Amino acid sequence: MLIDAAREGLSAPVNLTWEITLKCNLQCRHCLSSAGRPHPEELDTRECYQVIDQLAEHKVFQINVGGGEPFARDDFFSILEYAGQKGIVACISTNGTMLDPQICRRLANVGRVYLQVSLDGVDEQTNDSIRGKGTYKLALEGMAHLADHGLEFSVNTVLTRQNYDQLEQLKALAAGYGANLRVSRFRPSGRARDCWQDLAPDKDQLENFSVWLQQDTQILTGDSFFSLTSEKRRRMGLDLCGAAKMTCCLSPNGDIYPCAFLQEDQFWAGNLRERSLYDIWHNSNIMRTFRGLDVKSCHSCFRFDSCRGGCPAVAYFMHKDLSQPDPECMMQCLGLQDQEVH
Amino acid sequence: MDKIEAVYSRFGLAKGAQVRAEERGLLFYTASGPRLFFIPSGPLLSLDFFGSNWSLSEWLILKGIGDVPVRQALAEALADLETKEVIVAD
Repeated sequence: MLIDAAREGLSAPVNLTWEITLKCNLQCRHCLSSAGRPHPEELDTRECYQVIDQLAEHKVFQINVGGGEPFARDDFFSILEYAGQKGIVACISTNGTMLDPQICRRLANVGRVYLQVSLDGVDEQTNDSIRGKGTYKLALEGMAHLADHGLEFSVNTVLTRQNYDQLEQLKALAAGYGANLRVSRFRPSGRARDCWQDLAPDKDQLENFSVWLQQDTQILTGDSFFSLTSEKRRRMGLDLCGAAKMTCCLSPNGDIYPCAFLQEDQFWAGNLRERSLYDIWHNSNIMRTFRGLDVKSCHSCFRFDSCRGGCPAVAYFMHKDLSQPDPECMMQCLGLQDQEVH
Repeated sequence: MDKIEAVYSRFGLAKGAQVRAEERGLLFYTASGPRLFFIPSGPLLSLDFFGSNWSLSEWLILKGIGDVPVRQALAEALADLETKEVIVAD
């Protein structure tokens, strides 16, 4: 029912992925935003408040704040506090390296916030080879500060060829801090395109990962793996691409895209300095196009109602064609059998 | 809660839950998870039902809706939301 309503277009996004800055103290190899230096035209504090006013007006429930590193922005707490005052739940993706007791104290008083700390390996060697030297130690220190302040967080790991066999250990590591493990999908956008061949999990790893996910329903995945999700995990998250249906992406300069992984000129839907979110959401051609995406070659698949062709971003970057199926789909492309379904 | 109880209960939103109106019904959000729930209630229930002093039975009478299957379907949906701790009965 929700999926049907979403395909017709909800009144507003359910959540907004907000890349609040491109500024980042790290240079992760797989960064979807190629973050590092701030965008020259980032929204200022007042403009961010105006964005939040629009979100509150249309009852957008949640912002997923990332970047860049949100805590690298000097006015981040002001923005966060303003969102909290407006009743918007904030989920913050951070590299964890800037989290100190002072920041954690402020976070503890800011309202409803959830944090995801990125960690891409269970040891220094694996993590730092992707995220940079010294980041493993700093992220763990940050996680310890969060735990000390009673702040709820999850450890977010992007699944790669290198860390695929560390997931159980990462889960245990997270549990040591009172946190859950969240596994996100590696997608070939931003700098990740340059290291796709090195880091993307292979077919066998994806197959084994799918089985592992099926066995452990405590692992969080958000909407990352609906194309690989077994029936057992259905309804634990969104089972289809939410781009332009449930969510969209706000980039640091006010540009709106259907998805954070598709921040390319051809997917630009509008800019909040020129048009309202409501106008862009309802009237931009690219949003309409995404709501109407139909991967015809998947129609014959018995899982079509569950995944509807998978992730358009991965399909686009692999095939340059949005109408192609997700190349990492469990059934059609990996050729696996989901025996639970039969 | 079963659907009969739901007919005669008054409901509010659970702590941390939010709701907004969509063309086809009501969309609920809870921060735990987070999770989304949709009930295809069309125009039959509005946001001010939650936290009002009206039970579903009273609300539908007020709105002039006497259709028993409609009442039962709504009661079932509300009971389900209550079980999932999205709404709470007063």
